[in-house]
Amino acid sequence: MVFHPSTVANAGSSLEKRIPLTQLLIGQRAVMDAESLTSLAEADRCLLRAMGVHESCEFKVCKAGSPCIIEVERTRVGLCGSVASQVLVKPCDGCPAS
Amino acid sequence: MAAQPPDDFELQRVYSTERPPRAALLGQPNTGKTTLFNRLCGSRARTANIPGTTVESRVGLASATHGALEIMDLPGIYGLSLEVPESKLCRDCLDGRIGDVAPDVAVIIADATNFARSLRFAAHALRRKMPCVIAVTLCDDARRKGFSVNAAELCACLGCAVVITSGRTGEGVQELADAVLRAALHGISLESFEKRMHHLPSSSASESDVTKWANDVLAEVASGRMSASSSVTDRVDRALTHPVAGLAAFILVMGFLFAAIFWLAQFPMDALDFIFGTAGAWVGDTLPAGALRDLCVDGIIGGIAGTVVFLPQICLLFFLLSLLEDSGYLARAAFAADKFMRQFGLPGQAFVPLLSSHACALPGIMSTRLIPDTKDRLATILVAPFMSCTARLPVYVLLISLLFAGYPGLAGLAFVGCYATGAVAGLLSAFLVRSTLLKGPARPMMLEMPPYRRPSVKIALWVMYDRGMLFIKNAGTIILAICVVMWWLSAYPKVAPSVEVLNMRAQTVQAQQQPNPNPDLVQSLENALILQESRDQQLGSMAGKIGLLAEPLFRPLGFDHQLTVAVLTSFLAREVFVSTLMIVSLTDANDEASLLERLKQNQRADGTLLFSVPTAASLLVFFTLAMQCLPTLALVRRETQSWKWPLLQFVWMSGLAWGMAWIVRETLLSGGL
Repeated sequence: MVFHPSTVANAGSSLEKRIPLTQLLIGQRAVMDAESLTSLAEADRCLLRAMGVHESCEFKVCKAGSPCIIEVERTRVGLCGSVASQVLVKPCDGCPAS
Repeated sequence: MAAQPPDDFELQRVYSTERPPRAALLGQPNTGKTTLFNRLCGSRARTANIPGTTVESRVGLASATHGALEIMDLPGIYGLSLEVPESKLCRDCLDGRIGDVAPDVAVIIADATNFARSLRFAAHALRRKMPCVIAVTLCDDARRKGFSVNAAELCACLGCAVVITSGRTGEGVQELADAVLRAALHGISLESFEKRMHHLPSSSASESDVTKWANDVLAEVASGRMSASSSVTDRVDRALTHPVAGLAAFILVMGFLFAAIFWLAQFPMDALDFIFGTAGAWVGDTLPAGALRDLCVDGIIGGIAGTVVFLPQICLLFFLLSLLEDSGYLARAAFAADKFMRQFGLPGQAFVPLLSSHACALPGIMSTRLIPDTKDRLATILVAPFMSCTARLPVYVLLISLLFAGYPGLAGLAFVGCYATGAVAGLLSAFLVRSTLLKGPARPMMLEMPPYRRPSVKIALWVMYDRGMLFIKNAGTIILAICVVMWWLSAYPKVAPSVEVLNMRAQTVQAQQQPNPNPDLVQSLENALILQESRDQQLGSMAGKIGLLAEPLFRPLGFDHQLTVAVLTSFLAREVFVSTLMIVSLTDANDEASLLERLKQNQRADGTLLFSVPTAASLLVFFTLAMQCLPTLALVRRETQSWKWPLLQFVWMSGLAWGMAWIVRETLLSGGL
């Protein structure tokens, strides 16, 4: 899994810049928007939405890499690397990796 | 705590002579749905396929204060509108398109520990025009974490009855049964449905709007705030899904599971074997000789024993799997195995069924129900019998002993080679089937990681009992019937005594009537007579005639007609091969050394050795890969609800086994062996 701390640092300063989910750090928070899940197949998108991973959710990264584990509300969802790399997210300002 | 919408409906005791009202439990996975079902129905539940489908559902009877209820536990789904088989099945079931009758009430499960998500699920489910009751589960867990839901306020917000429950403690379970019965008898009027719809977001609302609605409801009805998951959970998750540490933990856990199924189950299996052996001997001694005794001893008791002997392995497997699933580990294990399995078109969840199949393909195939995607599950079922099961062991022992007598190191390597050959053939077959018939990659893994919990032994025992009964009921009936047919083919028509048998009988009588008979000689003559009669009967029976007809098919592998009969009769179960060989070689069944020696010296009609190195090696390869197990085919038929897949499996495995056995034999022959 490729990891770019510099990308994350830069992305954190701009809410407009989307980065692949795989590039977030452990403990970092991020939000999704209308474009976040568009690269996924419709069935996968629907399943993720139903699990709580939808276009307006805010989440925390519990484990980076593959699988990537995120926590949305009280749900932890594991995503294999191929899915996580297609999900584009906006890191939250003021929510650095802890 | 329960809350009902205000109405003037007075519940009277139900004295219905018709079926009790039916309620369907509808909810997301890991929300305490099954625990609640078990608490509602207790031992009065049974697992059955939903009529017209291959999906199982548990159905049970619950007691409300004023009458009984039939409760149906539908599969856990993330959303009713999803285009996945489970969601479609729930929709069809609620609409009455499948099953004998549509449920009267939908009991919507809302997990108190993940309430916002449950509200979003409920928002979609409540749009159906049918009586609904919301059961807020895991309330004890939520309260411990400082969160609670006000039932009256939630009832006012959603316009339907709400009951706060806990399947683990039993809190609110009786109130839930009463509320469900009341809702079933009350029905739903257009007015009350419109009132309910007024509370819900519109059907065209976006996910963001539904989330906003859920958050508003949450703010209104809930007090306290659930704390985020602990950093311990994060650390454990990171370890269990780590490429190295996760794999090591996975190997350790699965090694324990495998050892338990292999070793622990051996004791009850031996006990069952002894019980059936004793029962068979008793019936054999009690009934007069004849067709009825043969049917009872060889057909019925033998058939039941051959099936039920696997019951301990199946029970143990499902008990341990239930504990692992309940603990939350299985979701992590699936990710640990996913990377490797995906290369062959199988998902990570396929690992457990394939590992279990090394004990016996029957529990392995049954455990494929853990795999959510239909194609992934089917591919796993198709290749599971390639894994070397315990029934192949006696055949491996016999043939490897023949091939490598006096070379224990090589014999050990050959054992490993047999297991590896089966596993590699299975994985490559999976790759092939996922590239052709079940085209497409395995579904990318997106799994909810349930919280780590202390597994419930009680639930695991329920699962074990349920699965065991299901196995006995389904496999026992079908397999028993097939076993009886196979026995009949082997036992009929009755063959008249040959000249050889008549001579042996005369010799035996003569030995018995000597003034001082030699007991060893008499015993030896009697054994030889029984074996010769069995051999004549086998060759003269329908099965034997089929063997003679099939001999040309197996001749390229070096099998003569006797070996062909042994291979064909072992189609019933692989381990039958060894006992058939004992008959073919006319030796004492309990004397392995004698059997090996006899087998080595066994000759064909032309005087050459039957078990030459090339023939023994081709036979070993054939048994490693062939689908020589009728019970497995019967189970695959049941699990896939089609003859197409078991037939394909049989043709592919037998064809591959024949081809590989032929290649091995020809290679060895060309090498001068």
